[in-house]
Amino acid sequence: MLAAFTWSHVDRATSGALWYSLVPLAVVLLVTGEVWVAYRGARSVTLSMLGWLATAAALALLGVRLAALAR
Amino acid sequence: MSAWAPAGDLPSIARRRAWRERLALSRPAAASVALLAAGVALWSLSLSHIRLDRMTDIGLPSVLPVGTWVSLALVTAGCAVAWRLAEPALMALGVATTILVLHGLGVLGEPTMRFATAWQHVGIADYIATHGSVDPSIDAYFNWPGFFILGAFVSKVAGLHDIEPVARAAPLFLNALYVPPLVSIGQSLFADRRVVWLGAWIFVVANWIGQDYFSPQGLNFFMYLVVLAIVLRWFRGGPGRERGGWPWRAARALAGRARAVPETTSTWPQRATLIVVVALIVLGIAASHQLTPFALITGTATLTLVGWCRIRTLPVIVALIVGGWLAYMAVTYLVGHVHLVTGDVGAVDVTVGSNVGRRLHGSPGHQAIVELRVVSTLVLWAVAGLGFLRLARGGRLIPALAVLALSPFPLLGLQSYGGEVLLRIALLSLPFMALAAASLFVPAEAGASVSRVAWTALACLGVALVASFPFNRYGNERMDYFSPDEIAGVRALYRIAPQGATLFAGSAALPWRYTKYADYYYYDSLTGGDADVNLDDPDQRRLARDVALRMATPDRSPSLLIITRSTAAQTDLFGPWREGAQLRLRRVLSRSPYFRVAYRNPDAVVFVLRRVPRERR
Repeated sequence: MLAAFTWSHVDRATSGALWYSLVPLAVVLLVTGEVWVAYRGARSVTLSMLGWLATAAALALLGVRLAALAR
Repeated sequence: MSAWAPAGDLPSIARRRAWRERLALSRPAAASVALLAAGVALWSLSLSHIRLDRMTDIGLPSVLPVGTWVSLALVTAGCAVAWRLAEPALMALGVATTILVLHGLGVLGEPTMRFATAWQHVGIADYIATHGSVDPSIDAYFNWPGFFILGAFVSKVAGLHDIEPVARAAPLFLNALYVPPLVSIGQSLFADRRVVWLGAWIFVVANWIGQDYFSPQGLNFFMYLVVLAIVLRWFRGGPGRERGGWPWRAARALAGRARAVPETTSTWPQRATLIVVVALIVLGIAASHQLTPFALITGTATLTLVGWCRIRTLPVIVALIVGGWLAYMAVTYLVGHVHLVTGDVGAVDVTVGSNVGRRLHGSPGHQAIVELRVVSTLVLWAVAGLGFLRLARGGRLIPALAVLALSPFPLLGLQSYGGEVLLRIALLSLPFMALAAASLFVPAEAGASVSRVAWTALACLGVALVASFPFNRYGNERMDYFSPDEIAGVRALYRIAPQGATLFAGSAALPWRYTKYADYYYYDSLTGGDADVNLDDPDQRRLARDVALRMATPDRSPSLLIITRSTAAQTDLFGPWREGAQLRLRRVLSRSPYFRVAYRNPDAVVFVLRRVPRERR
């Protein structure tokens, strides 16, 4: 739904950039979460939530994209 | 101590004495060094007596002089003495010497770089160095170009016009590179260094798989080991520290007693840096190779599952990076090839068939080599299995070792990888199988001496592994070796062929594509396409006509064919034609009006298609 919304409401270049940056963003958030664990010895709830949210969105995006490529 | 300190003062005397004591070798240690040195000396002398031109279908072992076999025995004996002493420096020397005499055979025993694919990889690096860019439309290699960009960068920075001399030494260099992370992994799992170094030695003598040439998978295997070494050394946690569901609790119940080696202590900036380093290595792996990243996903996922990886999101990070690379950077290849990538998913029977069944054909000598490879691998896996059983019975089973040994096997369900996935699985699991096998021979009690039975069994295994290595590794050497005349033939081909020409080879075993990678249309065989050629055709006129039709280009652009000793050897070894089919073809084409011989030497001949026959079949 989020993808459809941005695709229809935001111009192609911006939405493209947004979705292209999702995978790197998810990776950076997850790595930052692990660095936080190394620093504090415990997970940051905020970082974890953001990381998993971005990961879920990125994985969904990758799934859709790979399925489209398969067609 | 200052350089101006008076000579003979007490601290300097004590230091010199300590150095003398350190350098002084006990009698067994001196014997070990002497055996290793004698082995290397004899090995070096024996290299010049190898008659490569007389190789049979069992490859290099058919022409190895007695001196080479004796040198292998001497080095193995030296390693055994070193291992008995359990002195790390000596054991490391033994492993290094073993790498030299086994993996150096193909590097220093042959006048040119072996293995056709290595020449092709040189060509890809050369293309990137020459053009300064990557063109993903050329082929799959350019969609995972990390390794080749590194090769091009190194050749540019080092000022090399030709990277081939460096690429040629890859088997020596890469095997030496694998040992440190492997030892680090071993040290993280076993307190007894005899297990660790014996595991490293078994890895070296069992690594006949041959992916350690100038290749992305060769370097990626090193990075794979480094990631796992970092995880196991600094992020494996301690008993009772993890939380989680039943898999974690069950694993901890198993692992509790096994964590004999404490996690290496580190400060938080060190750990943070290591996490970033791991992420960067994963990025490098994802950008360089198709298969290794998936092995890393299964490896890190299973480690996390059993509670031996404190970077819990690491498998997800790896999956995201790999998925991101596939979906965005490798799109050019994926479009139109998805069926190749995903077509075999779940078809394990097809994969096993293409990996084992399809390889068991060809000449009797070649079949014997393939069977020996299968048996050697199964024997090592069986010994490793016994090692795991022994660890489990003693309550010392190390879940990390078990899951890492087994984690590459799910790749069987992904795809056949051109009939090679079983080989890759054998390689990816080998370090852990080797450590498990090593644990079988070392007593559970720290420092206890090895029993006579264990020594005998180890000696049998060691001799079998070392003796079978030349057969397993160099069994296809008749086609993997290239004579200087063959290299001269390929150089002549490039001199003769105008840019844009179509180039055919008798088979894929040819040292070409090392330059002008995208300047020609390359065909590795005369089969395929609309006009298949039957090299066993008894009608010589029809055979020449069929070859000419196969080579004909729609726009009548130049078309050339090269037949060499190695291309002929490949069809002799693998079939499907009768032995000597390409030599016969060479004679037939030499007399045919459709062809002109443009270059000839004893090992290579280049034909140019003179005219296309009018008649059709």
